[in-house]
Amino acid sequence: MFQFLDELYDVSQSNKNEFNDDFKLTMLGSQILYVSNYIKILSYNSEILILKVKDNELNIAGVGLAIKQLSGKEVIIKGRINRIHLTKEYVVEK
Amino acid sequence: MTIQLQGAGSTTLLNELIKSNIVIHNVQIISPKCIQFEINISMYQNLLLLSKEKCYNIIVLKDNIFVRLKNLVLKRAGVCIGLVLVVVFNIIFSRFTFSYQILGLETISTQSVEDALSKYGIKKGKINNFDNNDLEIYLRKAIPEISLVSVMKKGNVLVVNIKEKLPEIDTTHYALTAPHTMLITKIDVVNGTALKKVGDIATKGEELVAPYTYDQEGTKVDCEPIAVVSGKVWFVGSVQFEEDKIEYRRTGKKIKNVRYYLGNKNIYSSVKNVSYEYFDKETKHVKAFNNLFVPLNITYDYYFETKAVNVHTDYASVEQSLIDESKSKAYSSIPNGYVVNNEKVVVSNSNGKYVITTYLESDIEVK
Repeated sequence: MFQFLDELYDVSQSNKNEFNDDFKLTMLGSQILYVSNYIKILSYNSEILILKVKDNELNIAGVGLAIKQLSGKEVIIKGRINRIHLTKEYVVEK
Repeated sequence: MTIQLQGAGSTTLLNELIKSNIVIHNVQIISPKCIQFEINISMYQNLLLLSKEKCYNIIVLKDNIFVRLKNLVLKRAGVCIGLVLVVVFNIIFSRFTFSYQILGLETISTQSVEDALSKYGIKKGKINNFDNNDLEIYLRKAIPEISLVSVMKKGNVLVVNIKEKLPEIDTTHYALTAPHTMLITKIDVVNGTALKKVGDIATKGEELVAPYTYDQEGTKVDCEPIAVVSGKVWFVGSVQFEEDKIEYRRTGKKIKNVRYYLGNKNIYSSVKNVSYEYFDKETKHVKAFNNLFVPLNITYDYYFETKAVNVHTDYASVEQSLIDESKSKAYSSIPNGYVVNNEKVVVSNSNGKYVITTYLESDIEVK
């Protein structure tokens, strides 16, 4: 995992320290989602889970969503995930 | 462990768990203010602290005993090790035999049982490995008086419970017999077979009730005779008297013969012929010396001449004394416990010969 991240930083020519506090998502198919470095849960039911992450909110929508494991740093969600999006969207500056 | 946590909104509850770094699994929202999840025992302690701090309500739905046990063992390792040592010590210690407890003995001596145990190989103060069944069989063979035996190890005590064989009981039943010659007036048989009926006369020793009965199929069955036989018995005293009788009276003449014995051997005799028609003989043994060194014995035989004389006595003059004598004889023949109901004196005369007989009547009850 760490090797993969290192390669990712290299390929994207990004500073590793810049992303230290930022959240990370890992998805296995459309059923399992691993989120780390989230801050807290804003809302949770079987159809939507909103997590507060650094500078944003992670909105996960689907059917039968269930938290399989929850700890201070990471959460594993299982269910049929339809959509993942960030609430604060970037727009093209005019 | 499966836990339900209540006390705040579900999202708040989850965020408080996150803040406290409590790892939970399989989270379900039960209601807006209640969540259900699974948690490890190690995290459960932190959850308890959190719930105490925040006044949350915890409901344990499913407790994992193995997890708790493991936790206990880890937390109280010293106690657990001590416990294991005690158990191991107890197992080893309980294999020793320090004493015997032998129960149920009446005729068999305790020593004989202990000897048998010793011969089997069981020693006091040592570890004895034995099979209970095998030992029981051995004891039954070693002591024939044992009927049943059970062996049980109770701590350090070997408990031997013995049931001895019963002594052989004489099952022979004997008939009810008449203790005297009796006239039967009443007979009540509870058990057994009556051999006599009312009005019969049973002689002394004769069977009254036999020790058997017959069942419904007519089979003879031995039994203890139980019956009450009432009757009358008579005790008799008799005296004879003759008004004229011949008496032999000494004339005053006598002959004396002497024999000397040394031990049992006759060494000298002085014997004269006895020429009397009727005589009385008297013999007298005398020791010549009053010591044991010379065993000289002398035997004197005296022969007194007698003459027949006819003596007449009137019956009337002696009647009362003869009656009293016959009564005395009759009363002396009555065993203890008998009450005389009737007394009768009968005098019979045949050519000057009188027979005075007293009859005493008494009731008897044979059981």
